[in-house]
Amino acid sequence: MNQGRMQKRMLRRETHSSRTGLSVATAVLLLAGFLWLGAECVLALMGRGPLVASPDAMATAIKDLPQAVQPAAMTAAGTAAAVLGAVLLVAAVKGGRRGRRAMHSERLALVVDDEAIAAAVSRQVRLAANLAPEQVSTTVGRRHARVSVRPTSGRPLDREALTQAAAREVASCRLARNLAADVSIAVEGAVGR
Amino acid sequence: MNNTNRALNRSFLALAGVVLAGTGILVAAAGLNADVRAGWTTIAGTALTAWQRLRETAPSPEPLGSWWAMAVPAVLLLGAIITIFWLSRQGGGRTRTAARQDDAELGDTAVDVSYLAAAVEAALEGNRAVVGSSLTAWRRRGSKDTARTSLRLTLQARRGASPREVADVAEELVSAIDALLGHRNDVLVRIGTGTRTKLARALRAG
Repeated sequence: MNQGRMQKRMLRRETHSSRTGLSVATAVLLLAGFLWLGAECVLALMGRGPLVASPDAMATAIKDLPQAVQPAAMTAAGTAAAVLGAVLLVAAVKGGRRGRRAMHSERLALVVDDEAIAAAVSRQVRLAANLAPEQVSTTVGRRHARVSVRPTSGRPLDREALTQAAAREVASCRLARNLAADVSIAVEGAVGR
Repeated sequence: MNNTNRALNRSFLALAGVVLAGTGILVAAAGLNADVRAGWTTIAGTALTAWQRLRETAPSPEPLGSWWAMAVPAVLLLGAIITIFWLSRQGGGRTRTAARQDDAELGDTAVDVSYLAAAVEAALEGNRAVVGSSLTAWRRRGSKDTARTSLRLTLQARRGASPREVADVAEELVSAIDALLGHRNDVLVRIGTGTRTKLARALRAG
């Protein structure tokens, strides 16, 4: 595998979930089911009493299920199972993006946590506006870095300048896909300090 | 980073999801519709009778009754074995050896990853942008070529440190590692935030 392909592969694997947790959980449940059913079969073959129910009893119970259980209960249980199945299906198909993204680098497969970008953007905006740390917070979404600023009472802020400060920090990261900076200034100010 | 086969994970989840959703829809439909209920009982009854008849085609000595009845636990056991094999394939690939060179005359040389990790730690001493680091190595499954060991370097950035500044530190560290080992490994660098970031003091404004 050449350098570029390996790098892409590493980046992809680092920024997306492997779905290991969910598939291990499913596999463990499946394994427990297999082992239990297998044990019941063997016990029945040896003519011993069942753990919970013998295979024959289970087969008959499944056949008579519509008579034995109230229709409403069946609908509820079926819907629950269908929803669970849909969740697994969605997990299988969806991307599973983690809160990280790739940065440009020649030599490395370079990944940065969204949280680290957010902290850096917050800091630059705070320096540009001369505010206290708790007055600025940033959330990094898929395509935007949203900065919310609470100004000090009586000291208006220049939104344009703050957006520029945020955009400069984001651009300096040289992300594989740039983020748009988006600054919103709260109407209510904080008491000055 | 490890050797988990992710495509297989997703296929497995999709299969489990389809089976579960299908069963759920069938059961729910039986609850809602009397025709489905009647069909359920008929089809299940027919299947049970067919199974009884099949069992009689291959009688075996008591107490087993039928060779076909033996097939069911065998299939279940096979399913259990496949599942266990599946579980054992998750993850893996981590190795202690960061690099290795075999030479018939001079002998074999292996560089432990902890040596590189300690070197990285020492190089980062006093760095104001990075509060912690970890270095691990892993090898692709089945790959005997030890030069293909990949490294994963995690740097914990100080709160508010510019990611590019940390990335530059990482580039420097990796070129130093290249020089130490004498060849270029594939390296994955993650700039993260973690407990160390939360505990360490934020980068001062001044």
